[in-house]
Amino acid sequence: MSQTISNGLFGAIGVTAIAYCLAAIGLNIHFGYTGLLNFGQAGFALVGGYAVAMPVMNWQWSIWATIPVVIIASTTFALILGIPTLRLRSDYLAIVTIAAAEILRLLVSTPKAVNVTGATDGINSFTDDIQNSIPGFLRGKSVPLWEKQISDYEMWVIMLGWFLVVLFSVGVWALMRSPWGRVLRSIREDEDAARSLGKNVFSYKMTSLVLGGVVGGFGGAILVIGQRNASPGSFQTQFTFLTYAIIVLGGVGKAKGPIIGSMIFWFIINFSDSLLADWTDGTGFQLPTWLMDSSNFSFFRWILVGSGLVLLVIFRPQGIFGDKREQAFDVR
Amino acid sequence: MVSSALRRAIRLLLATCAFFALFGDVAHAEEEILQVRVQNTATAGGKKEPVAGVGISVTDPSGAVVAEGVTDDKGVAKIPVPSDGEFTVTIDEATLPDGLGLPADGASRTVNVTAGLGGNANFNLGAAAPKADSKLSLLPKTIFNGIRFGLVIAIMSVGLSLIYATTGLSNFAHGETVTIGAVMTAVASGWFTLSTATGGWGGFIQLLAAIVIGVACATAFSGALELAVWRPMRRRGIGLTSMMIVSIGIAMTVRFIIQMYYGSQPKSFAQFGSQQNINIGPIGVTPRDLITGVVALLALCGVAFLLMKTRTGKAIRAVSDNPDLASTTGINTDRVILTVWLLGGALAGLGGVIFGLDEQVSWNMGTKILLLMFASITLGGLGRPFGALVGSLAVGMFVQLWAWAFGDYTDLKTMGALLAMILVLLFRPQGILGKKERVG
Repeated sequence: MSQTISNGLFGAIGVTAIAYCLAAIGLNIHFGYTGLLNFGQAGFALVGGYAVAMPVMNWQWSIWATIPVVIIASTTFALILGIPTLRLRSDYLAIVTIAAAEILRLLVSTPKAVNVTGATDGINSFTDDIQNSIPGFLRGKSVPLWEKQISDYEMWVIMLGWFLVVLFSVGVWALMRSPWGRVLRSIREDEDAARSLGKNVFSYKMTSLVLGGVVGGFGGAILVIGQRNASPGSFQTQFTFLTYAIIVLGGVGKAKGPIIGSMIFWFIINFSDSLLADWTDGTGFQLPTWLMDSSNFSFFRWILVGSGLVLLVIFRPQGIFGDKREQAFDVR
Repeated sequence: MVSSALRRAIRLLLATCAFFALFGDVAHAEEEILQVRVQNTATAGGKKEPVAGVGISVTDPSGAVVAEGVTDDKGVAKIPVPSDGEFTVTIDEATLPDGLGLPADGASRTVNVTAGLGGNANFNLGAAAPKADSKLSLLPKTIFNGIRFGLVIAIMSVGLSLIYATTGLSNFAHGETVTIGAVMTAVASGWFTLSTATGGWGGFIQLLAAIVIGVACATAFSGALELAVWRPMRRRGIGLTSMMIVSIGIAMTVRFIIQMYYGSQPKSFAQFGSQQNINIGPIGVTPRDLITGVVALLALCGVAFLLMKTRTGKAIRAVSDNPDLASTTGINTDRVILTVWLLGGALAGLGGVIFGLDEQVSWNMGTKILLLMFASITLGGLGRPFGALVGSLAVGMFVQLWAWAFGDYTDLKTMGALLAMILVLLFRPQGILGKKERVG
């Protein structure tokens, strides 16, 4: 059991939680504060991830030099998405963003581009610079988290990742208290009212899309660095849906929502997965095999996520710790 | 169709698997041997000759290349693969000798590698097809396939479109309704012991009964969701965005329940057999494809008749125009909406069955086609009753024409349709049939 809890805790602070947390911070800017129904956060993450991996792999850049590439690429993607769709009804934005994310994924998966993107295998071995930058006090050691050992590389990425999370969260918190953030929220509440007060709604929405996209791009970057592999499989439509589940869990339209949401979400995922693995491995307490066995227990976590999302939205839309009055869910 | 020939090849493979496995290498505990044989059937005497030097790659279900090999002078390549399970074996067209072309049933095989037994794949090469003029001769068939694919997408997305029109909900669980129709048909088709009289009507009737069960399940699923989830949510005044996210949650739940208990491997209906093409002018088509195409067309005509000529249809159109106004004129909107969910569920289930006959029945087939369905109804004009039909035909045609025109980039055919949708929205945001209105 202590092993199971350790796995859960590792899930809560691990690279995946960080990556999804960053994606959720970005999505929170779009959906939580501005009311943009962006269903293509996976696309932004993909852009960020490949913006790191491709220059290093193909042109031997230093990985640190790809930071501006992440920003520029995500911004460009946001502009391409936003210009045609931000003037349209919100459901059009949803369809177009989900389609654009899928287009990107298909593009990097195609075998024709294998020399540039590695096709479905993706890109490996672009993380040497990160490996070499591990500080002395971590190098060669593994950090114990109760029963779970974290390697020096993982620990270093985790530290970098949480630094980014804190940076962006504080940034978002400060921005949303500013007059600029209040205009965003007024657009969410009533776009026409904001427009009639002389605000350029389109440009506010566009800035929001770009900002959230860039943060999402960094999420993708951390994900591929943590996995040491950038492949299209990490950026399926599912990525976006899980990100939605995370911000609903943590509280929509709150700066701390994505952090809480992501940590709880990945704790539950890893904990339940580890527990069910233990309950189907043939020793000790066993679940009946008609319910699940060692071959299919791993799908159960997604059933849990799906039904959890349904119940949350219906019965507790403000998230676990949220305040009902502050709930910022139903945008038009 | 190519897929049926492929399936026949797989079945043949599985049957020969046991035989070849006797010679397989059982020494390795984990590594399995996949034996690939490449032969030339386009010889003068019709005798099969081994083909050496053909590059072969093996990919796992995620698409990652796990092993590669080259055939020796016996035309055989023994490729170690890391584990048992399902792999896709592909021969590299560029390494084929001059004058030889890919097998008629495609350059790839899906092979089940069994632990301790290994697996094998055979490729029978034919003469290289003359490319220049064959392309044009394939056009009628391509157009026929496009229309047929369009009709199938159309019957699936009619429900999606009508639900959007009457309730405003973009229902992401609609793909799962499609899957349920196909999966329950596949499950039900396994309940019957196969009639031994092959080619008789026994299998057909069994399959028909299974289809009725599958479509009924899809209908019940759709209707039950309306009664248990959507109607109470509407009563509580929960907004559309919340409902959309709930539909995503439902889709995930159902999808993975299906994966958990149906399995990750695609399967065919138990009564499935391969059929010979019959030629209608320049188009060669199997009776099955013809029948399912006609069924889809008839179903759509039925929907059109219902919408335009019956009182129910009138009520549906009234509710989609303006639900409040409709209910003040005495229309029971809840009943109309329930009708739409049931109708949409039945059609989606039927579409799933046809799609499952064209390809195979897999746990995520609905999810895979959901985006094309959304593209169709957006193209046609969100919420227009006939928008789904027009948009679907456009998407189906576009996908098939893309595959025809850019033969090297068939994996991107879905991308082409999605790109087209985005471009249409840029210049005509209301869609092809939509009313010109301010949608900002």
